[in-house]
Amino acid sequence: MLEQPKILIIDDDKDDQSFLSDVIAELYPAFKCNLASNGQEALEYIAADPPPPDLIFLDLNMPVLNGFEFLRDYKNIYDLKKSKVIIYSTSSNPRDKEVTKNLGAADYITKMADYDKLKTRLKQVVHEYCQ
Amino acid sequence: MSPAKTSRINITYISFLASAVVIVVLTFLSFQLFNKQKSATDLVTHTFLVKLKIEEVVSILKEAESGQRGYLLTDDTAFLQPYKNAEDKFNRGISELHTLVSDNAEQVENIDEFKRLGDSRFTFLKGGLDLTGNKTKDGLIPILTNGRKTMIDIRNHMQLIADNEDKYLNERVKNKLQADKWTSVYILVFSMISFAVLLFSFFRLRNENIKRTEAEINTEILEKKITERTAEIAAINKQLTDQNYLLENKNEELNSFTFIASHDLKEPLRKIEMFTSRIKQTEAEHFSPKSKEYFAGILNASSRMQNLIEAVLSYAQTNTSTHHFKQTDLNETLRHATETLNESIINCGAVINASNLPKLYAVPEQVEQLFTNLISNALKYSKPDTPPVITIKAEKTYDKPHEGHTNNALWKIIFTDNGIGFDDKYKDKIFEIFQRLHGKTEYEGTGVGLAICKKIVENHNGSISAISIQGKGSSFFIILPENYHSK
Repeated sequence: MLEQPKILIIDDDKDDQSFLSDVIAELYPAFKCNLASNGQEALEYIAADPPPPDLIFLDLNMPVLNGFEFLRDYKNIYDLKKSKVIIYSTSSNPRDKEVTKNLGAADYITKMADYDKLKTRLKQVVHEYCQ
Repeated sequence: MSPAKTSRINITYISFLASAVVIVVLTFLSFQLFNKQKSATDLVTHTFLVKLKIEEVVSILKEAESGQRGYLLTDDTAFLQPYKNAEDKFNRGISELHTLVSDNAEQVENIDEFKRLGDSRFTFLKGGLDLTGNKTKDGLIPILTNGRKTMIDIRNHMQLIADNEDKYLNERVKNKLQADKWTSVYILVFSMISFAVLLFSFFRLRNENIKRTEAEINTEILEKKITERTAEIAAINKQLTDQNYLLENKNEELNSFTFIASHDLKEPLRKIEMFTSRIKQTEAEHFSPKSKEYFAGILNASSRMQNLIEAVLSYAQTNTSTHHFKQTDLNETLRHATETLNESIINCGAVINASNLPKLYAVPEQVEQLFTNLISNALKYSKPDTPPVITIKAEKTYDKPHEGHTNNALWKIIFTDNGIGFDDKYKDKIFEIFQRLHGKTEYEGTGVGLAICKKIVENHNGSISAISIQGKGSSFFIILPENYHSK
């Protein structure tokens, strides 16, 4: 497991940002967690602060540059094998899952209503992608 | 062909035939009249010819006589020139006269008499010339006197022949003219008939033309009306199509509205639940007993709201436009439904008895949801002390052909349970959305399950109904076409 993985949460919803960052802070206090509120902001941050994050949590429905557009642009510049993108969205539409998978997303978390369940799901993801 | 039209054509033929007959008769009569007139003219010519010929013959005799007299007076033989050929000329003239009057016995006799007189005249002329050797006044006088007498007889006879000819001419022309008078009458009568037929035909054609024009005008009016009516129908059709389009649009809008609304409603609710679960985790120990009770109330209410929104979303998503029809084995569908409900089935110790189910042309996911909802309903509304027994049967039936059915084979699928049942007066109400017959605490549920069932069945051009005896159980009847193809 990586010593100090660099995490980026891209979501325009402050509440969802904080749910996720709270879970990460609670489970993995050593992780470096950064926030961006849309795809454009995220690209600018990543360019300004290399190396790229080890794990990106990406919302789909966002202003300026949405999750799909971010993923399309991001995979052209960075290596998705080293920098994994996990979709973090309210949508449970199978089509969104398929499209993002084809665009190179590593996994898909549907935003949930229970903090404990979120915790469990996050443990799974970190275990799988932060080796 | 209509009788009126037949009679019109008959009259046209008759008019034509009458005209033709009249023309033929008129032509014949005119020809006859012309012929008669020609023969009358021939007769006149004939008479004149006879008269002319007689006069010619008489003048031969006169010339011979005057030649003889000149010679007797002068002894100049040059005067004898007309006399020399006179007898031959006379005979030729008589022969021609014979030919001319050969059809008239009386005139032939008269000509013969005329010839005899002429011959006798020539005898006197010869007698006069024979005396030339010894010319004496006494010898000549009786010859000349007899010759003059004969000449007078000849003139008289010539007059008789001429008069006879005139008499015949008059008789014949009179006869002809009598006949001609009738011919003229016939021609007049036939001309009048011809004129009448012409007039009749003219008026008939004129009337026909007027009628035809009227008919044409009527046809034009009718055509105009048909065009107008067609345009009206087209306009109404267009209006209907437009309205249908609007309605479909509205329906779609409503569906997407329901979907978006419930989807967006889910978001804040999810956060409420997330925040409350956070509070419960971090702050629960500081709660007073009352606060704990209220907090449990909040959690319960948000959970219920979550279920309701999920149900509405599911209802909104139950439309055919996003689903595909295919051959579906209902036994397989039932197996999937029971797998989904496996936990509840085991928990209530339910028994499901299903007979062999058919294969239908349907949307598999929707039929699965239909089965799941019906079984789940039976499990939910079972009697507390009796394990649920659910029987599923299928019967093939037929319907009269109507629109939407290519094959009118239908399947009736019956779900019967031994649950608490319901009052029969609610048998329609139970299929309406958000309709509940029991208190929320008594039996949990959203009131959407059977509404979704109804929508699914209607999507498949089928129907659903229920009968129930309170305290004994219910039966749900689903009728689905074997081969329904949505548009």
